[in-house]
Amino acid sequence: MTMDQTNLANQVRPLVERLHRDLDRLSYYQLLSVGRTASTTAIQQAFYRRAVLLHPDRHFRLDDAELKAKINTVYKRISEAYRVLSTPPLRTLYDSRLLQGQLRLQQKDDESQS
Amino acid sequence: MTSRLVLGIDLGTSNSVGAIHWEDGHWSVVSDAHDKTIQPSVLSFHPNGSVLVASAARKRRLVDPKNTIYSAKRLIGRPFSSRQVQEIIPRLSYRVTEGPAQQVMVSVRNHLLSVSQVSALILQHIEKLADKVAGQHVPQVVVTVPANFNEAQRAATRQAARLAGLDVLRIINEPTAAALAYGHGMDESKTILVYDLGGGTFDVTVLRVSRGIFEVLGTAGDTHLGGDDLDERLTEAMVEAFMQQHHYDLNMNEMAILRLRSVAEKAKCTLSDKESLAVHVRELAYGPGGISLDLEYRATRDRLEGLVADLVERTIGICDEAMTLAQLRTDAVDEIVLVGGMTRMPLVQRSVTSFFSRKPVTSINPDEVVAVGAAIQGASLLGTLPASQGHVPSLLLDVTPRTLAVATVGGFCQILIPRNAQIPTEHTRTFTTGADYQTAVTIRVCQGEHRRFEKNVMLGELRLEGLRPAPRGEVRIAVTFEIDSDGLLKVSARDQDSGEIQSAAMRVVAVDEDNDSAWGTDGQPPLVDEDILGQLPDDEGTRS
Repeated sequence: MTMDQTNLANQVRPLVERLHRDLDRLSYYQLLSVGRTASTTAIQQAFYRRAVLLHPDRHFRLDDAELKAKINTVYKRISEAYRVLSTPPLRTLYDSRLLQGQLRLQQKDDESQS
Repeated sequence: MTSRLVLGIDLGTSNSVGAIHWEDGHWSVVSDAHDKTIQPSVLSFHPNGSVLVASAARKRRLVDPKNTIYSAKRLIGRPFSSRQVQEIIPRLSYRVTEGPAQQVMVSVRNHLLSVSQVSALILQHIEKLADKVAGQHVPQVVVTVPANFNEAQRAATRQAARLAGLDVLRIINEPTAAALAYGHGMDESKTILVYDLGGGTFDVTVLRVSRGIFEVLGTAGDTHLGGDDLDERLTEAMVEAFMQQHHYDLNMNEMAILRLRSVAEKAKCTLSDKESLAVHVRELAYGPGGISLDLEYRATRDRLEGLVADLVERTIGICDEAMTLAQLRTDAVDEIVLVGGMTRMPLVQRSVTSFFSRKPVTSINPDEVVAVGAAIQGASLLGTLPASQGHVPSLLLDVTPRTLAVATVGGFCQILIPRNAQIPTEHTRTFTTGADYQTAVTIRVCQGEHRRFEKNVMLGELRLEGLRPAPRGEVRIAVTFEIDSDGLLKVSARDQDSGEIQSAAMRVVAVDEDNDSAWGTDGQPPLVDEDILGQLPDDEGTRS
C-alpha cells in the first residue's frame, strides 16, 4: 500500500464508520450531505466530493479488509443515492416515498420461479 | 517492495500497444528494437516449432495462412455456436473448432489453443518489450477492452492476462482510457466524446471531466464493426473488378482472397492521404492454359467512400444512441477525441464533424492514446499518480454497457442491472421455489437489451443448491448481483428466512475457468522465439 492511500484511509475512516453504521437510517440526501432542495448540479458536486474520498478505486491497495468492505458497501449506497437524485423522474418518486418514511427506492422484488 | 511501475496494454483486434507509467508521473509508449510502438496482434506457428509474434508473425500471413492467427479478439469470450463466430469463420485462414465450455479453439500445426491462450501470447510479447524498456520486470498491468464487451469477453480477456503471468490490476474500457489520457490534468469542466473505430470494434463514450473526475455518461457500440469490415468491402470490389476483366471468380481461390485483403488494407490506408491509387497485383490466379491473370484496379477515395458509406453511417447512429443515453444534445459536446487507426479516414472525420457541428481534436495519437490511458488508470489505482493543482489524481466513474437480466416464465427477461448503471453497483432480487421440496434452483442470466431472453447474450447459469426442503413458494432466496469496479459480475445468495448463505456459482459461457493453466498436451505454453523477431525478410507476396 502506498503512503497516499494509507493517509486517505486514515482520513476517511471516521466518515466510513459513521455512514456504515447509519446506512439504513439515512436518506439519500443525508448520504450525500445535501439539502432537500439542492439542484442537480449541487447533487453532482456533492457526489463527486464523496467519490473522491470513498470510491473503492481510491483504496485499491488498502490492506485493512474490514475497512475496505465497509467502503465498498457505503460507496455503492452513495452511488445509488446519486443515481436517483440526479434523475428527475426518480427523484420525484423518491421524494414522495420519503414522505412516507421510505429511505431507499428499491425495485419491486419480483418473484421468479424456476 | 512491489514495483511502482505499471503497464497499460491496449489489446487490439489488429494491433496492440503498451505504455509504461513511471514512478515520477511520466509515461512512455513501449517500442521494440525497431522503434515500432504498434505491434500486430498476430501469432504464427513456424514449421521449425517456434512461435512468432507481432511483426514477424504478420509477415507469415500470406506465406503460411493456415498457421497464422489474427483477429483473435473477434472470437474471444464468444461461444462457438454464436452467430458472430459462425459469420467470421469463413473469413479466417486458420482453423477453429469447438472446445470445452463452448469455447472457440484455434487449431494450428500440433497445437490446440483457446482464444485466451492466443491473446496471452500477445500480452506476453508486449510485457517483454516493456521489461526491456523499463530494465525490470513490469508485471502489473491494466488491459483495455471495447466498452461494449460483455461479461464473458471481459472474463476471457482477464484470463488471457493471467495465463500470460501478469497481475491484472484492472480491465478498463478503451474509450474511457483514451479520455483519461486526453483529459489528464485538464483544468475546466468539459464534456468529451470519444469515437473509437478500431480494427474490429466500434465504441463511442460520452464523459464529463471535472477536476480529475471522469464520469461516464453514456456508452454505446458495436463489437463487430471495424476496419476489417471496410477492408472486406474493398476486397469484394476488387474481386468484382477481376471478374469483369478475366471472368474468373476469385472467391474460389482462398490464397488470392488473402492476398487481396492485404492489398485492400494497404490501399485503404493510402487513400486516407491520397485521392487515388493504381492497384496492380500480378499472378493473382491462373487462367486457361496456365496463363497468369493480373488485377488492375483503380482505387479512388470517392469509390472507397461509396463502398463503406453505410458502415460509417452506422457509427454515427451509434453516436446518436450514446448521446441519448447520456441525455445530452449534440451541441453539449465540448471536445471530440478520435481513437483508432480508422479515424484517419477523411470520410470518418467529415461524418463526425458534420454530426456534431464540431471539429475533432487532432493533437492526440489515435494509436497510442488508449495504452497511455490504461497506464494512467493503473497508476491511479496504485496511488502513484501525482495530483496537480488541487486536482484529484484521476478518478474514473465508469458504467456497465449492457443490461443484466434473468430469464423468467415465457422466455422473457427481467432486468437486474440496467444498462449505463454506474459501477460498482449491486441489485438484489428474491427468488422462490416453484415445486414442492425442491432443493435446487437454476437461474439463467443474460446480457442485452432485448425483452426476449434468447435474443440476448446468454452469460451463464446460476445454480443455487442445498435449499431447505419445503412446500413450493416457502423458500425465499435473495440473490445479489454485483458488478464490481472491474465490470465483472459477482453473485451471492441468501435464504431470506434462515439467513443462511447459499452457494451461488455461476458458470460463464465461453470461458473455461477450470482450464486456466492448461496449455495443450504438455501443460507448457508454446515457446515464443524472440530472436526471430524482425529478422525475417518481408515476404508478403504482393506488389501493389
